[in-house]
Amino acid sequence: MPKEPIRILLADDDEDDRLFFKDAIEDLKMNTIVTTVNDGIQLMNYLGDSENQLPHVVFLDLNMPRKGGIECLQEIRNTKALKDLSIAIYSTSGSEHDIEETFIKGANVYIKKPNDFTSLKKVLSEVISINWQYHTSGLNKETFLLSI
Amino acid sequence: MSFINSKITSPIFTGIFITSLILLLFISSISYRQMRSTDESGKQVTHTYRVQLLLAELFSDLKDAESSQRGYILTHDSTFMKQMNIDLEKFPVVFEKIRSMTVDNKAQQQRLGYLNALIKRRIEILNETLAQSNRRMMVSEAILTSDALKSKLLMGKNVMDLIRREITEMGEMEMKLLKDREEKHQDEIAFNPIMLFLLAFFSLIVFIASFYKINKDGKELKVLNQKILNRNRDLEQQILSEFTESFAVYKTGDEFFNSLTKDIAAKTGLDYVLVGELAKAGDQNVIKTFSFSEFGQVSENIQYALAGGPSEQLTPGNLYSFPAKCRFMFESNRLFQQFKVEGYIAYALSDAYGNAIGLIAVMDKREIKEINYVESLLKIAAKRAELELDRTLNSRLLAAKNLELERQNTELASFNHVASHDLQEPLRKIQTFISRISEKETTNISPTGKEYFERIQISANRMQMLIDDLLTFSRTNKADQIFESVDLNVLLENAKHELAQIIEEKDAHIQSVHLPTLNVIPFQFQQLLINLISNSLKYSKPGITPLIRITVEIIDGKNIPSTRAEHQKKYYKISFIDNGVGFEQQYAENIFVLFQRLHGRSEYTGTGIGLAICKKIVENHQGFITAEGKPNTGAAFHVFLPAS
Repeated sequence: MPKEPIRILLADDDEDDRLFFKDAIEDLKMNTIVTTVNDGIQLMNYLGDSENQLPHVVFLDLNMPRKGGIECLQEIRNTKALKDLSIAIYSTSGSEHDIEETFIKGANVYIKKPNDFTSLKKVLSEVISINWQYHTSGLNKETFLLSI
Repeated sequence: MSFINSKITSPIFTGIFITSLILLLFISSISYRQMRSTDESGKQVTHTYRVQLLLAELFSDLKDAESSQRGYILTHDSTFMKQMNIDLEKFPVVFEKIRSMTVDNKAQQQRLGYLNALIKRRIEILNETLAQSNRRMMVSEAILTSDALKSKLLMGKNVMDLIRREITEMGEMEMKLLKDREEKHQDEIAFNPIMLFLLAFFSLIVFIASFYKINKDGKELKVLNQKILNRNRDLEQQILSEFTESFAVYKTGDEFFNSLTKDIAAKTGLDYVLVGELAKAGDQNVIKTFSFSEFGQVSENIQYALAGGPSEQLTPGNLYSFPAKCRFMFESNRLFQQFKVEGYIAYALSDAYGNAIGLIAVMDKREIKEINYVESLLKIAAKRAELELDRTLNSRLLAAKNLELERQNTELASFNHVASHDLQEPLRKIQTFISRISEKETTNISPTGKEYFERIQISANRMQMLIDDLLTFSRTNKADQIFESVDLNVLLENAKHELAQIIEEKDAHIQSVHLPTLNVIPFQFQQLLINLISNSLKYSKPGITPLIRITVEIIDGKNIPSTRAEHQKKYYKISFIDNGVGFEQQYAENIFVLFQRLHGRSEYTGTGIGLAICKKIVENHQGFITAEGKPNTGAAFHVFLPAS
């Protein structure tokens, strides 16, 4: 029985990063559907549109124009229909402050964008392979930052 | 105030004065009366003798008339007759004189009346005798033998005896009267000297007593004046010391200066009190007041130029005392003209280095009288004001510096942000693209191209490392980190875990004694351990097993060969001793400076930030770090942290 593909949504304003992300996912050859949006506004519009099926996991960049990742995170967690969505923070920043804040505000995992393609593939594969249904409750601060 | 209880009481003085006055009046009146009495008694004596004289004259006249009559009877010469008539004519005049002189004496008047009657009777008898005589002459010659004549003569003689007796009695009565008066007078004169003597004696005593008392009081007054003077001085001292004590309750800054000027105004009663800082307005020296009190009330601050005034050249510690006529002495000074200042006393304030920094002054529209007091007060106030002024100026400087520091911190924070995000992003992309090319395009690139790519990758990685270390370094800047009581053994284990890969690679040995539990910033302290251990591992000597020993001891500050150690304090000395390449001792300080490296980049990787971070972390913990090195033998790093 063919498995249902994993729906992945990436919100990132950087075109290069979107390209790396899609290339990496493609290289993983997993049963996935990747959708990308360019900023927070587009993300919220996409999630609010009833025609779109909700993704299994959202990769959220923090530093975006118009509406930043932290804002989106807060909005998602405050929206009843979206509050159980799995959210992986996907940021250049490795600052303690950002890690702490996103953890408190309810992100499920924090990924610091790796410096090379191999690492990127490795970390994405790990995140996608998580059975989110069971992972959510088991998350704690020590394992929040996913280090490769 | 017991000294006011004086022995000079005015009732005593009033009593003495009144007594003296009464005595003097008494003496005067007695003397007067005595003089009057003496005068009176003199007059009485004269009077008595005159009455007696007149009585004698009266009797004599009568006798003269009698003898003239006898002469006539014998000779019948009319000359006798004439003489008798002259004598008889004198009689009423004398009699009247006597009568008028004894008019105030009834007994004498009675006697005089009787005498008058007798005299009249005698004159009648004279006339009758004379008539008898004349008849006989005509009848016979033998007059003398005539019985009638004889009886008349006898009768005359009898009346004459009566008159004589009466006159004698009257004379005696006058004498007796005189004698009575004399006696009375004598009594008075005899009594008065004693009385006078007593009075004089008494007066003398009163005056001596008064003199003694006045003398004594004078001395007491002198002592009392001295006491009052001393007391005034004491009071002044007391006010001054109270004033000094009142500083204790003063607050700081503006409130301090307001309290100060108000207090000085209250204690001196002078119209204006000001304290201010010396400042520049253009090229003019001005005083900007911190507090200015007018008539005891704190008023709006003023600013005035020192030019043309007594304190034009402000010399620290100088007193400028012009208690009177200021307005006329300094005609060009606008301050004095504006406030119509007559008296001015000021004291220049200086900072700890002896530079003039301000002024404290009092001014009045009238002459300042209590110069010494005001000067003392001002000097005391100045000492305290100097400290506060110095403090205020310093805290102003500090506030400006703090502001500058805050601005710099903000800049640093935004730099951190730039470093952590914006710098890293293109770098990460370069690295990712390189990794993509070397993965996907290996077949299309020449071996030289491949090598170049590798070099690009190394440089990019190095830059990544620099950025990360710089971020770590700037993060250790933060002073708002929280201290926690942490077991250092746990932090060491964490550090070893973090460095597990390189430890394994180098097959390094880390030996540690049991570490204490200290109050530290955990994240920073762990970073310190990581940096120190990784530094030792990085500079390990090729060919030998790297060995790192960690020791701990408590050491007295005075035994630490570092100027940073406080002698009376105790310190934890945590040492990290390795057997690596070491270094020349002369670089022991340099290695902690940011970006300072002792080796070429090709020999050892490193950014020159690691030990600078160590230094910063130890300093965040109020400690210090030193290094010892011996080339080719090893290095030792000593972290000193205050114990307790």
